[in-house]
Amino acid sequence: MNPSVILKGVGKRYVKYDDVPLLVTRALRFRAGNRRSHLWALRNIDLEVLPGESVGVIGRNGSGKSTMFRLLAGVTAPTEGLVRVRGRVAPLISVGIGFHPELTGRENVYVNGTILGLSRKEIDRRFDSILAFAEIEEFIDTPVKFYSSGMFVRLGFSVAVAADPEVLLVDEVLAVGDAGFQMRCYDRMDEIRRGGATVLVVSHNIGAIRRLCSRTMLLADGAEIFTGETDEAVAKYLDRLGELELEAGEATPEVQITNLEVLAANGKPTGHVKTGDEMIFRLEAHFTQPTDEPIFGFRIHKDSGQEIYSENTLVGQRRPVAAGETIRCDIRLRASLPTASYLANASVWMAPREGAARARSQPVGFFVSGRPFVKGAVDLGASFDVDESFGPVGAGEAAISNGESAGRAPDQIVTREVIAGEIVSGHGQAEAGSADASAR
Amino acid sequence: MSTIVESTFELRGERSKLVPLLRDLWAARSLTRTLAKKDFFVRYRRASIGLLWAVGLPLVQALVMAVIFSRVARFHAPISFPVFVFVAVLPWTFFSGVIASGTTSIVDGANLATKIYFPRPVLPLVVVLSSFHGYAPALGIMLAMAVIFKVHVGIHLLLLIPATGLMLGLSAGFVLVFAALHVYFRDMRYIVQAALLPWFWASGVIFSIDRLSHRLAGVLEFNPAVGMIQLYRASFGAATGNWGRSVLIAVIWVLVLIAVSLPLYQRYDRVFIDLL
Repeated sequence: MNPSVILKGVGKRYVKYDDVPLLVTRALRFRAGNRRSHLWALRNIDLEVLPGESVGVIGRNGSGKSTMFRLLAGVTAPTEGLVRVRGRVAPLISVGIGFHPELTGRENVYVNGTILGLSRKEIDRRFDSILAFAEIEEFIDTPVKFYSSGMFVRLGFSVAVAADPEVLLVDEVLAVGDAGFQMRCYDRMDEIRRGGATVLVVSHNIGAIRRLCSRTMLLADGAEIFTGETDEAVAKYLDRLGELELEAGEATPEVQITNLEVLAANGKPTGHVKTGDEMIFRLEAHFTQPTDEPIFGFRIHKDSGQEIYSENTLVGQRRPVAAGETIRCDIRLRASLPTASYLANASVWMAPREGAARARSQPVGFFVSGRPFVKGAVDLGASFDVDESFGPVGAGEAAISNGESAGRAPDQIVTREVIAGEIVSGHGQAEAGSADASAR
Repeated sequence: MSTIVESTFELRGERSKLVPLLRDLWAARSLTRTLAKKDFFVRYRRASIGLLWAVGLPLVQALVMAVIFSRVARFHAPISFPVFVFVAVLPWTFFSGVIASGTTSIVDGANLATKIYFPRPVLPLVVVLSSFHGYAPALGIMLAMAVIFKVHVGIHLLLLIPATGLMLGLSAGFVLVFAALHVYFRDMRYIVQAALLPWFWASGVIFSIDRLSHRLAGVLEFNPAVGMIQLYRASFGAATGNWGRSVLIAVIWVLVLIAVSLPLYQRYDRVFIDLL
C-alpha cells in the first residue's frame, strides 16, 4: 500500500526580522537592510503514514508542532526535504474559521464546504447529513453570531468530516464542544479512518492522542525525538516535561534536593495515575547545615504553567535536622485532577521566614487519565442525581400561588400567626425535653 | 469525488512550480466566486437598503464631482459634462477601491490561509470579483444618464466590453502585485493610499488630459488609468486625442503586471503565511 503522507528529511527555516520591513526605509536606504536571523522550526523529520492509519504528533509549545501542522496542511512549504500528501486534506479548522458571523449556518456551510474543496452539488448532497450530525436543524437559517460556542464547533466539525477527506488533520479543536458531541466526533473519526482515510492528530492533548492514534511522533525543539507506540511516546513526552524550565531548580549551599519522584500508592515509581488514585511525591533533601525548623513544600502546575495546587509544612509538624542529614518526605495526596499532563516541583526552606535559604527541585512530569468530559482545573468527582419523579416543579408552585391569590388575604395572616404559635410552642417543648434529659 | 480537483501535493523547497500553481488557481475559481459573493453580501447585509449602497456611493461621488466641476471649474468636454465625468468616475472608483482594500487582502486572510491551502492569488482576486458585484446596475445608471443628457449612443457602446476587461485586468494586475508586496512591506497600504490621490488627478477623471500641455499629456499617457478611462469615454464617443495609444499602453501595463506577479507568487505562494 502506498503511504498517503510522506515526509522525507523535512526541515523548515523561518526568517526573523528585527523590525517589520518597510518599503520606505528600504527605498531610502536608511539602513542597508533589516538585520535578520534564521530559525529552524523543524529539522530532519521523516514520517510515512499509510491510509487507514492514525498518527499523532505531540510536543510542547514551540516544539515545532504547529509548523508540522502547516506542512501537513500544505499551507507552507519545507525549506528542505520533501512533503507529499496524497488526496484531499481536510483540516478540522479550529472552531469554524472561515465562518462569518453575519452569515447564516446554511450560508456558512456552503462557504466552508467550498473552502474544503467541495462543489456546490456535493454540498447539496451532503447537506442533510451535515445538519443531522451537527444537530442544529432549527437554527440553520440563523446567523451564526447567535450560535453558542458548542453549536459553532458542531457545525464546523460536521462540515469538515462531511468532506470525505483522504487525510483528516486534527489540532486542538476537540478541546471544545459538549461531552456527547466529543464522543460522536471520536467515533466519526474512527469511522473515517476505517474507511481508508489517514487521521493525523497534532496536539498536546494527550487524551485525544491516546484515544485516536496507534503511533505517535514526539517533537522537541524542532527535532524528532521518537516515533512509535503512542504509550511509549507519551511516556517520553512526560519524561521530557520534567526537564523543562518551568521554574528552574535552585540550589543553595545549606540544602539540596537530591530527588523528587512520583510514586503510585503501592510505592512503585510511575508517571501515570488515574483520577482519584492516591499518589505520592517522594522528596529527598540533603542538609549541609543544621536547622530547627525546615519547611517542605510542593506545587503542581498544568503543563501550561498554571498553578493548580501548592502547600507546605509552615503550620504542620517540624523536626530539627542535623548537618549532613538526608531527609525523606513523602507527600501523599489524591489525584483529583482531570485528564492532562502535569508538573510538580518541591521546595525546602531552611527556616519558616521570608528570605530563608531555599532549594527547589527540577519539575517532574506526570499524566493523569481521568473520567471523560471532565474539564477545568480539578475533578471534584461530581455525581448527577437526576430524579424526575417530582414532575415539573415550576408548574406546581404556580398552581399553589394561584390558589392563594383568590382573595384570601385574611386567611394568610391567620396562617402566619398559627405558624408563629407552633414555632413558639415547639421551641418550648424542645426546651422542656432538654430539661427532662438533663434532669435524668 | 470526480468533480474535485486532484488535491495531492508534493512540496520540495519553498518555490512553487508554475504549472501546478496555475492549475490550482484555475481549480479555485468556484472558491473565488463563493468568497467574493460572501464578501459582497457581508459588506452590505447590515445596511437596510443593501445593494443600493454598492451602486449609490460611486453615483453620489460622480454627481458631486459633476456638479462641482461644472460650476466651479468648467473643463471643456466633448459631451455633456456630468456624463463625461460619470463615465470616468465609475471605472476609477472601481479601480481605486479594489487597490485600496485589496492591498491588505493576503494579510487579512491570514486566519483562513494558515489553516488551509488554496492558491494565494485567490485572496486579492476575491476583492476584484466582490467589487464587480455592483457593476451591472452602475452600468445601467451610466446608460440612463447618457440618455437623459442626450448623449449620442451608438455602435461604439460595444467598446464597453473591452473597457470592462481592461478595468478588471488593471485592477487585478495592480492588486496582485500590491497584496504580495504588502505581506513583506507592511507600509505598502499607506504608500498605496497616499498615491491614489495624485493618481486620481493624473488620470484625467474630471478633465481630458489633452487640455494639459503637450509635454505633460505625453507623460501622463503612460499612466494606465488614462487608457482605461479613455476607452470608457470612447464608448460614448467622448475620447480625446490619441486615445488608441493610451489604451495600448494600458494593455501593455496589464501584461507587465501579470509578468511581474507570476514569479512573485511562484516564489512566495506557499510561504506567505510564514510572514503573517
